[in-house]
Amino acid sequence: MARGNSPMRNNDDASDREMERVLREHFETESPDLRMSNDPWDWLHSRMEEPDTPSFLSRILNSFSNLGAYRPGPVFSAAGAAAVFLVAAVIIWNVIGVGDLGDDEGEAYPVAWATPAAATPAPAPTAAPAPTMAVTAAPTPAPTMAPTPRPTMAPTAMPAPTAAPVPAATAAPTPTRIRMMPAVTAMPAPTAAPRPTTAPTPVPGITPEPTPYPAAEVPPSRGTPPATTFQDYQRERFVSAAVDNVSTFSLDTDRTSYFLALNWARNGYEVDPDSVRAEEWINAFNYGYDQPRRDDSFAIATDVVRHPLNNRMHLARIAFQAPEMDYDATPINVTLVLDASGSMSTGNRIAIARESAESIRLSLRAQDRIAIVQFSEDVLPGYTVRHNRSTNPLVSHSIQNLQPGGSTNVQAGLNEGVRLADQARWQNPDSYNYIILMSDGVANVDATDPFAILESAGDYDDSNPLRLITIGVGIENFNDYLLEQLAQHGNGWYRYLTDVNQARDTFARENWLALSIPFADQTRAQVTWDPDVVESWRIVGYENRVTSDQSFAQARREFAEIPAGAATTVFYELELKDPSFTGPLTLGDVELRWVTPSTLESNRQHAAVTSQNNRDFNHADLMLRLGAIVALFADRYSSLPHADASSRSILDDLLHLQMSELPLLEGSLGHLASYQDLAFLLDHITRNSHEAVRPSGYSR
Amino acid sequence: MTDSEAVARCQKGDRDAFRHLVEQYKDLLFGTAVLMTGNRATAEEQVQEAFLSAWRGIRNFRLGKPVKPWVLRILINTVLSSRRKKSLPTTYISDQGPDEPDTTEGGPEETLDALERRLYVRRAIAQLSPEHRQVVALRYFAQLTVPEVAQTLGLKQGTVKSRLSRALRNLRRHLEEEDVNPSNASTGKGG
Repeated sequence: MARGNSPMRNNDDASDREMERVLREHFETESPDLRMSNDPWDWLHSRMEEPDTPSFLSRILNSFSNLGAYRPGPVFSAAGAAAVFLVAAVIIWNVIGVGDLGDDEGEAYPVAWATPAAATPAPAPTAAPAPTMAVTAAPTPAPTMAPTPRPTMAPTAMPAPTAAPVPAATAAPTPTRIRMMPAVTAMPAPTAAPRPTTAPTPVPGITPEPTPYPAAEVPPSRGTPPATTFQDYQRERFVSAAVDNVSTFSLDTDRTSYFLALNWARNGYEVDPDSVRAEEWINAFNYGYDQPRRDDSFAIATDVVRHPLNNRMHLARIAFQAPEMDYDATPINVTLVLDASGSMSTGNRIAIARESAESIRLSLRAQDRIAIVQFSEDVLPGYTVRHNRSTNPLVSHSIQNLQPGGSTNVQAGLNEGVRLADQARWQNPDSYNYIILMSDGVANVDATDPFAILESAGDYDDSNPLRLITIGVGIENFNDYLLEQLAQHGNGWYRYLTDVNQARDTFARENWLALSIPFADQTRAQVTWDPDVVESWRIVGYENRVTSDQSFAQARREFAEIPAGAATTVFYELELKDPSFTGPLTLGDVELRWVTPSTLESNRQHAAVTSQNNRDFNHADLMLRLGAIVALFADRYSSLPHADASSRSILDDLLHLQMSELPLLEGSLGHLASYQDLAFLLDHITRNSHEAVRPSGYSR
Repeated sequence: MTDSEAVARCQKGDRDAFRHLVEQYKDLLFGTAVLMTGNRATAEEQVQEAFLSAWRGIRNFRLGKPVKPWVLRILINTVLSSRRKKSLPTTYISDQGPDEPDTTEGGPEETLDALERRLYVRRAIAQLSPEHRQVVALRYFAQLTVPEVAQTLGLKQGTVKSRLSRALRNLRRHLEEEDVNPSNASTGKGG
């Protein structure tokens, strides 16, 4: 900040000192008012007593919805696990900031904490499911957090660890194996070389015209699967409606579990069953639900059909569709922060970044402004453009000239981006402000600083926050964790993109802006089954989202935030008192409660769960069938490690869904990238799972 | 018991020693949190969370380092972590309403003028941008040194200094606009 001449400065300094004195006296006078009226000790003491209470750390981690969502699973190689954990620990530690006092002192804390993990001997590569977690977690001060982020990091770190600061060569873990698998065969060949894939967003409104899968490629239908299928799950069990007819859960629009699985499969890894969360698989797809009639409530659609895996059972689908929000003429300031480091030359990363940037540019209107920051080892001033109209040739020039080279200094790029964005916000206070960071690696950056930067930009000014959107390209490292946290703390959202079509789709105007506007918060649903109609019920997935019936009345922070235009779907498996009913039937009632973020109003909405007629699964709506296949496949597969005796019947279910049910949709949905991805993923999983339990017949 | 002794005992699992630290720092954290969040109920919850985090992380605290910046740093991280959810109607805010600290309890000899001026300063602080309010709170309420503020916030000292200087000028300008002589603003002397 430029200061005036010397007398001026003296005046300023004198005034500063005077103001300092005023403040000190003020706070002295105020201090009685700034005392805590309640003694925190009672609360604290009880919390300290409970060893199993989730720590603050783990609660923070759990709130990082995507990666925190996974349970421990994959088996790591020794070095891989240790290295990844070391890095993760340092990042988490820095981010959470417990004990870290800054650049010159902080390093002691993370090292002290992470060392036991790094030194822990881990099991041999591809060994049987060794409890790596328990070993590494034990000596840490916060054991509950240990299992949370790492499983997802390990497998993704494998292909091309381009930016790893830790010994990169040893950072690659071996592919995950399915737990129940007897370790006899070598790892499955990387069946699918990362193929160019397209956006996993089906278009709604497909005409129902199923055509059979080409006969040569498909085994004959196996008929009805064994009736024992449902009895062996260790997860959410069937509940007798006579005993308990109320089911309460938080909505979930997360979808990371599905895309991680897809990413693993494409890179030849096993998909760890423990990483599979059925609700996130279900919600990865666009089922084209009808929009709500009013823009202040959801559309709730219910449907009940016969169960595809058991003809004595039924499947209920309940869908919640949030309204699209209209965008007013409020100007938008976008600041693109583009990674131009050398690692971006790998694969199609630079193309994805360019396509995303160009799509964003094209989505802007005359009153909007866009700025671009490119960075590698530092900000590249030659390609940095201050806020301008999107039609300004400088903007296109900078985007087209995004070229990889040099190291990665996300901090510098983000710093400059926040500075420009803050400037734009200051110049035009009545605007929405987005910073969009695209990167593939943050390895050589102190992870704490972006938080300090974010915070220093004052983006917790709730009235007009800077929103930080982070886009990962070619995510194959732990950096997705950081990108996600940045977005989470930056009022924004995080996605990783695997191809240019997905980039284009994500940044179509209505898509990316809708994601940035929450329609509902603390959104939870309660389904009450009619015990006269429903014998027993079981929710598919949502294991970690199921909550006590009592909590339904409470607006809790952990309940989900639903962006405008988003949809959430839940499936129930049902045993009805009269499985062969005809005509319309009401099975129960669903109530939705949420809080409107802008007004803080509490809302509730009811709908009946009805069946128009007792339809066969194969006569149901195509999108319902797609959702049901995804839901049941994910549900059965994720239960695989917990069901020893019934693994055969689970495999039967998986194969039936993959080989008999899914192909029936191909004629209508086969042109969609999402269908192709799903078919590939299910094939990948069933092939590997199937081989895992099939006796080899070979001598030892 | 000094802070260091207390920390050393905490690291061995001594909860009474931690209680000592809580007693020592609860008002400091609470005041800082109130200044940062503007809400006493939120502040109270976050102080509790921060202490819990401190307890769980105390094993990694390096003995001999000052405790105050460390606990403040944890508090600030707690506040920032909950920031994203802050705008949302958490149940604990609802019955409190927008709060300023209670203004009715001036000392007996505090004149109405003094109270009024105190309120002006309060408002001036409240209108500061969050990052300015933060450095002001840490520097003048929590009475950290500039290097400690820099450490606590993960900023360079130069940044802290320029931020403080801008904050001070902003405050002065604001008080002048309110027609309050800053020199008399706080204490009611003169005026």
